[in-house]
Amino acid sequence: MIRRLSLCVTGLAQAAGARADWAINMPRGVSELSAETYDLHMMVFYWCVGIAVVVFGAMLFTMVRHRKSRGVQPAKFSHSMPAEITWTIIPIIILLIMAVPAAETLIRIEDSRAPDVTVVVTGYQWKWHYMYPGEDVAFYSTLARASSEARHRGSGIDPANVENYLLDVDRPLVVPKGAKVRVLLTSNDVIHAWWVPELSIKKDAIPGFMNETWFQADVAGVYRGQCAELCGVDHAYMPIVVEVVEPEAFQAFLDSEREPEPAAASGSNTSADSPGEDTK
Amino acid sequence: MKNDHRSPRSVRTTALWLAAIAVAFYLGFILLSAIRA
Amino acid sequence: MSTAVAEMEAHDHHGPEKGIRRWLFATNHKDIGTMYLLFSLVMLFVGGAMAMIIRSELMMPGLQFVNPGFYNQMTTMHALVMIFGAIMPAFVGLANWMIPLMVGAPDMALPRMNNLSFWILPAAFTILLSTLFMSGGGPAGGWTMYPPLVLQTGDAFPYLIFSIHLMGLSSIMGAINIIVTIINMRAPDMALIKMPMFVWSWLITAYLLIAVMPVLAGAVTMLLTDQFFGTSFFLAAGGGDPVMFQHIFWFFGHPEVYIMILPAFGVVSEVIPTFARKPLFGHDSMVYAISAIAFLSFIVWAHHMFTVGMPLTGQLFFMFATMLIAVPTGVKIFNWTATMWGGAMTFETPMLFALAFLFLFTIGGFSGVMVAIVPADIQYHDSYFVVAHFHYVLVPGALFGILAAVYYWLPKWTGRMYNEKLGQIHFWLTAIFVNVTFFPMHFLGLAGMPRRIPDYATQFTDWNFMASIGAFGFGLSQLLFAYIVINCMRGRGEAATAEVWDHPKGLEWTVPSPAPYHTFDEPPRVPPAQTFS
Repeated sequence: MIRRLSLCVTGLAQAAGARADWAINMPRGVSELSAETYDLHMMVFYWCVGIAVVVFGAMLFTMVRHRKSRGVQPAKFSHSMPAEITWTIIPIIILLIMAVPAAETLIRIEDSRAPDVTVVVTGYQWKWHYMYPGEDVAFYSTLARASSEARHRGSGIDPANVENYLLDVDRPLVVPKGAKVRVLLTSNDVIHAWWVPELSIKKDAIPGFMNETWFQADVAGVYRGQCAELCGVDHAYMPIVVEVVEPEAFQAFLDSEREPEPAAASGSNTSADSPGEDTK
Repeated sequence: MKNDHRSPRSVRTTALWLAAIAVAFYLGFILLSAIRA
Repeated sequence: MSTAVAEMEAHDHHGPEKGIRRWLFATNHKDIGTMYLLFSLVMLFVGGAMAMIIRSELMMPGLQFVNPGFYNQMTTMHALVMIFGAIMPAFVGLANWMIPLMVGAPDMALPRMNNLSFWILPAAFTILLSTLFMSGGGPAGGWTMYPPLVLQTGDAFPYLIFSIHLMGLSSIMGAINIIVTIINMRAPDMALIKMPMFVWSWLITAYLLIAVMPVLAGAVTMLLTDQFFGTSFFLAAGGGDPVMFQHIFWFFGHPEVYIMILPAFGVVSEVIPTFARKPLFGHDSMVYAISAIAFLSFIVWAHHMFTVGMPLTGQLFFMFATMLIAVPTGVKIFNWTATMWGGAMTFETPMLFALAFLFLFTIGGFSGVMVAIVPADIQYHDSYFVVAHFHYVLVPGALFGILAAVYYWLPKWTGRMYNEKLGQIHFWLTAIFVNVTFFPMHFLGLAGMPRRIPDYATQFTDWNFMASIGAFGFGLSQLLFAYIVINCMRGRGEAATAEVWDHPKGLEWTVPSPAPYHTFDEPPRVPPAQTFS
């Protein structure tokens, strides 16, 4: 009980950081666009709250005041052109006020010109494939082993003991901080969707088609997301992890991926792909 | 029914028009999709 | 002419058939209405049981009860059953019972087609539910049936398609019947503009049904041919486009959600004036608002597809058009409030549900405005925020509308007052638990929880736990509703008068309670007090 309460307080305090229990809001994220999206979301939310206060206030007032038990006689009016015009015009104005910043942000989101880095993301049932065109680096990204063992019915493992349960992969996507990363998205089988909340990015991965979107992360760190389009039995088990690193570290990452792997004696590390090779 | 001030012809006409709209939408969407595909 | 009438009188009124024939071969709108309503109640519990399975699994992280494949079948079937088996048939049942009574007609225009419309449904759902027992299980690709995923359905696939075709046929025939009845069989004094709002709402809903159910039928026919007859409507490898399915589906799907809510609007417009003892505010505007909503519902479908990769212009258009729907919807909310204003309200159970509708549907409307904003929707789409939004408009929206209607008209149907005390208990339990269940889902979506997953990351535990508790409470509370209704049907309770309530308007209150098997054998003269404009 105490634990619940204190978690509740910390959760509320961390409302902007969506990784806490009892989180109630989306993250502000680590890109300019994610912050713009968050601000837009909050603006619309506050408008709704304001309208709710007025409308629910009126409803509550009338439910208390205009009741038969108070001995009132019901009024007879059933028309008022001025009232109707007012409550048609005012919502239109409010909607216009919301529509302008929404359109501006949307136009910015759709502008994927002049990227610094491009990655090609392919959805599979049930994992992601990442490829850096022109860099000769490509690999699969699957649910991390600890999660994958715990998630089965009767596994006997408590998810609370698994770090980043269902949000961890064996090989994350690595991108440089501050770079405009263009994401080309497709699928090998059914429709998937690539969603990373802190980068405010979500786009469908559709077989036979190439979708395009972009993000620019301004803070280094590890950002986690999940597939966001029902894609079969293991839809819940193909998370996305994006590691945003300093540009030098990104180059180092690419170089290490490009080198042919030394012959591995144990051969048990499934992440030891040769570039471009298919793995299961 | 005694309060049957409808004319059978008008009922039939209305019903058939509506059924025709339904059929038109059904076939129309399939045909449009075939052209699109 | 009068001899013919006298002869008909002599043959008439041997009462309803005896036994199973009365129901199997029913052509009486009251009997058919009753069957629709009872069928929908059963389906509510079937869909509800599936929801209980879903919420049991989601109560804690980790998989405890079901495998992911079965879980996906549950989410898919829960939606199909609730939409096509519970909500829509309930409203059609209300239409069958009330439209002839409200317009002064002796029955529906096409009574035998009416019978077929109903009996198709038990057959369709037997087929659909039987797929759960087939090899490969029932459909598990979501009620939205997107290809290519839906084409991975096993043996159940053709049965899914067939049952959807059957449900569509039932709805289309029902809609034709409703329009023809309203247009052709109104009492001579009742001009269209003078009709009650429930009838208006159904007139418009019926047009929506006729326009879009065939589109759904077309979409699933194309799924069928892609699967079995070598076409490539939606298969990229053959030159087709999976996204085209989404466009076609949602061209049906968006008007569909208005089909599910407009009759609820109609019910609320009947209930609030009665219990406020005041005429509906702005009757004509209410008619225009419903018409505007219906028209707009055709041009916003792609707001279900904002992450699909649509050109910017498309996204902007659909964003603006979607936001626009808030205007006529707001007008309705304000007009209902203005109806209450200055009234002399009492709060019997139908009014409680109507008022809860007003509050909670509005909350669903607010989250609707939020999801209309495309940049924000990129974060909300396919998350629990959307699940919260549509459950708010469907449960305290459509379902509360149905519950209000049942409590409102049950005394007319059965001749007995339901137990008011129990009704109030049912109301409060339902209203409280519905919020405990669905409000936390807003938070889950914002925190990043996707839809349609049987298991989740541990930071989503607390709200999921709360939602599950709420769901169990909500489900159990509906058992009380079934008890109240069945008790009433069995003749327990105070005898009801013709008027039942305090001077309600409408022709249905001019006939005795229970309404006789045949009503308005003669067209009524509609007194000015009974008209609505």
